[in-house]
Amino acid sequence: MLNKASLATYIVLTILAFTYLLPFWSVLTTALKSDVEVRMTIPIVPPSNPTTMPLLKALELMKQGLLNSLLFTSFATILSSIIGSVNGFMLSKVKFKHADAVFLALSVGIFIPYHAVIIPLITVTSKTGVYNSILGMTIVHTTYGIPICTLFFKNFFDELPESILNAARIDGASDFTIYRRIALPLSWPAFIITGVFQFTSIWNDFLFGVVLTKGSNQPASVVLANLLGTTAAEWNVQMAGTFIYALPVVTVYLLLGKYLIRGYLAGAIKG
Amino acid sequence: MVNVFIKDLYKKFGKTEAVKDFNLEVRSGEFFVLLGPSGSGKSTVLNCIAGIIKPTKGEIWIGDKLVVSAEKGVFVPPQERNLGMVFQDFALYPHMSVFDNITFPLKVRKFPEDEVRKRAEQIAETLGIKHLLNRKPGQLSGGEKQRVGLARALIRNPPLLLMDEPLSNLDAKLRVLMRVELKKIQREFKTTVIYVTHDQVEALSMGDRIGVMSAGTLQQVGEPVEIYERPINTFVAGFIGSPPMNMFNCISTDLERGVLECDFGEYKLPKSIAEAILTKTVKELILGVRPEHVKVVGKYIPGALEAKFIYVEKLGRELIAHLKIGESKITSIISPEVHSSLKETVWILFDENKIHVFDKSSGKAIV
Amino acid sequence: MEALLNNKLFFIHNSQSLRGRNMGSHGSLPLTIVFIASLATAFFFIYGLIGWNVLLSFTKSMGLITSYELTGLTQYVKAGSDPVFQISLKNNLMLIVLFIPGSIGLGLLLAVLLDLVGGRGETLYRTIYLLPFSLSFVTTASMWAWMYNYSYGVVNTLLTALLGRALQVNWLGDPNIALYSVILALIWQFSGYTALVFLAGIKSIPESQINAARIDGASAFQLYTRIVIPQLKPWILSAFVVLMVFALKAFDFIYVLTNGGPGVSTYVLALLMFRRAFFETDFPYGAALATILFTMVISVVVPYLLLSSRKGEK
Repeated sequence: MLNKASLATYIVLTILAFTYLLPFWSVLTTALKSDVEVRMTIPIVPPSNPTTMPLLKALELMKQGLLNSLLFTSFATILSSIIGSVNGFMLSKVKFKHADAVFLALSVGIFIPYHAVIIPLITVTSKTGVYNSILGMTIVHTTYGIPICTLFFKNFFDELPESILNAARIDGASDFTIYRRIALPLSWPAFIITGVFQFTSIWNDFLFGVVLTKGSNQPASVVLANLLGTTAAEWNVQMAGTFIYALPVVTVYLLLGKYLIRGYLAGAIKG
Repeated sequence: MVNVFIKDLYKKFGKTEAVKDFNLEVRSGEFFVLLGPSGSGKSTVLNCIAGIIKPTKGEIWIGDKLVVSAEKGVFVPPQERNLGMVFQDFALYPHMSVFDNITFPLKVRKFPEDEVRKRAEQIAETLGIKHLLNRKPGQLSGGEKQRVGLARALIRNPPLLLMDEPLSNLDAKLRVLMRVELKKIQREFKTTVIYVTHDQVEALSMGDRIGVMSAGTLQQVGEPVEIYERPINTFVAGFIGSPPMNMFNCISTDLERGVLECDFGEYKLPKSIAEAILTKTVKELILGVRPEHVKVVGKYIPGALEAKFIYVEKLGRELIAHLKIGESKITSIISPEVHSSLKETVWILFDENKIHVFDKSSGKAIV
Repeated sequence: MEALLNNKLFFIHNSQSLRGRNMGSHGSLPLTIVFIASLATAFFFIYGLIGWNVLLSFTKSMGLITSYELTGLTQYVKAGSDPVFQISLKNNLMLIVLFIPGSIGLGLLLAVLLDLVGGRGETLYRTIYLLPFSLSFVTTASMWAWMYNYSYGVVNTLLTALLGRALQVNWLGDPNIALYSVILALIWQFSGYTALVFLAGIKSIPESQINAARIDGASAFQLYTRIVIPQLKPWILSAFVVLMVFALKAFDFIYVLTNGGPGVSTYVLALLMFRRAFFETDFPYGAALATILFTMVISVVVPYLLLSSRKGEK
């Protein structure tokens, strides 16, 4: 805004930046230290002989969890994105009464604490046989992702000029054709935003994982949390596990961060 | 009131040269209009004077104070330049009342409260917005917002007032009224005004002097009459005046006798002009004549050219006639009575005292 | 719960028939099916299960067997006399009072600094500050468990280095301090988000207003405090709602970092619900606690959504 930021501004920003990055630095240095070194040195000091042993060990302990997370996160992300695009299209472009009320009722679902549904959810998943399974996690995450995915696509389609669709209608296209040939191709940014947002949300989830799965079906988040509880002494393995678990999300953030940001702001833009 | 001196102003944005070779002196107390199409650099010049933008090269003096010099490393921030500025989108603070908007420049400098109140009421009275003081910008009409913006700019009685296309967002009728208002205000507040616009009617009606800009450079500076009657090049000639000047490509076939071969056919120049061209030894010319100097008659007169009506724009008290001469088109302004007496084929004469001749390659006026 | 399901069906039936009337032969069956089915599923899993949960909260605790024997407000009365319940509420309140203003204040500061810098600097620093927000609470709790470690943790070692002598604080082991340690870590995680929101707000102010203020004589400080920040109110409100909802439903982070300890000093409502429901298998009581939590969140979210949807229509 102003033409030149003073040196003081840069100094403050840089000091803050280092403070924000300290936890990451501490994870990184610890994850690369041998058992001996991790007990002898403090995290601020980098490893003198970096070793991948902790990483390999953590990977071994977490590999099932990582696979589980990868599977249901991917499936749920894809499914909820597609459903969100259909719903967003219907609510935004296909005119019907009470669309606003429906959307409002759905939006409340974005904010609800999942604690309010988790107990009945156990009954529902057991009765339908999907308790403690990848399928169950996929269904649960897809379903609870519907409100936010619908929001993203509805907002996106609201921006699409009505005139394009009217032209298509006059040309004789049915709603499905309009959806498939016009709305869908144009909405690739919304797919990226939704995909990135859902992937990180579902990968990051803990509550559904810890309640609805057990043992070898648990997601990486729960496996990591258990790791912290039990192997209290081996901080290097714990930090290595933290690093591995956080890596996909950090990668997505660094590569596709601008889409993630649009997702974060979608709820925040006033009104 | 203060004068403004701009020397060798040059501004580059990335690879684009927005303003170059810009030299101008605006006289103390004058209403100076900077006129040009969009992209001509006029707003850039204004923003440099305001301190919103820093020039790449050059100097600007406001009065006897050097406010910016790229070479000498001088830059006085806008806060300290003691000017007022009025914006195209009004730029009012939406969360503050009209009173708070107007008095913001005083409050920011910690003026005493009773002084603030006094000045606010005075200026609100002058600009006719006293009844709006408690309202918020969102509740005002375009014209009212413009007045509030003006009040804010004038409340500290600045010696220099800058205006960036202030009337563009108002409806046509209001614009005409405001033109008169603005001149009145300038005289009353005794301030130097630099006014930027792309509307040449505004420029001609309001400016004490006009500076015409195109593609970053100043084409011509002068009083409205001078710009209108003696444009210095084809750009100024074509930009000023509505409908625009008729211009034709010509080649001088017989320099001695002043005969030209033009788009529309052969044309013989009046003696004085022919003599002037002789000394310049140019071959390719542009002949210009304004529509109001193109006379249309029903019968042939020696020297007249044959023409046919293409269509006529009826504007009530006058008509703009579009005619075909030879392979070219020409516009003329004629009265309804004259028009009714004419048939489809007519004859055209140019007012010999009002012909403009330009050198085709440079665009500069020869006569 | 039956009533809720009936309402939904009526609702769906209505919109379906209205749609038929509007669209004629140009509507799309596959789209409609996906739409209705997904909405029905979502509404069941949201409103349906919430209703079920409320019902459960009115039943008698029977250990592993859910009896559905109605007992009125017994579970809620139980909460009133549960000392950990009171501690949890107090801690949630502490979050509201410290975490929210802290995140908003720091976010405002960061946003202003970022705006001053602009360009690539702004993007770089913003990326750094926002990174924690994208992470899972399990990740960040794990990071802070190590950061707050008494002997080795970065926080204590830095304090010792800066202040010369061994000024070691028992961040996670001292019941008087633990909650504040949690709050500090959470501010670290959320302030990038608030900064992002406020930065967007700052950028939405037209350039001409900023220029006008500078010409009017405003210094940078006056510019931000009188012109920019007052216009950020809607953005601050929106961030406030997000932070408020989190302050009420915070669970993952605290479960992993302290599990409510030391003692019960960092218990929050969501954690208590989890413990009572799943560790002590008192599902009806857990359902009651969840209902209380849900009610608190709803009372913030619904007015906000109504307010902003009405503003959007203006």
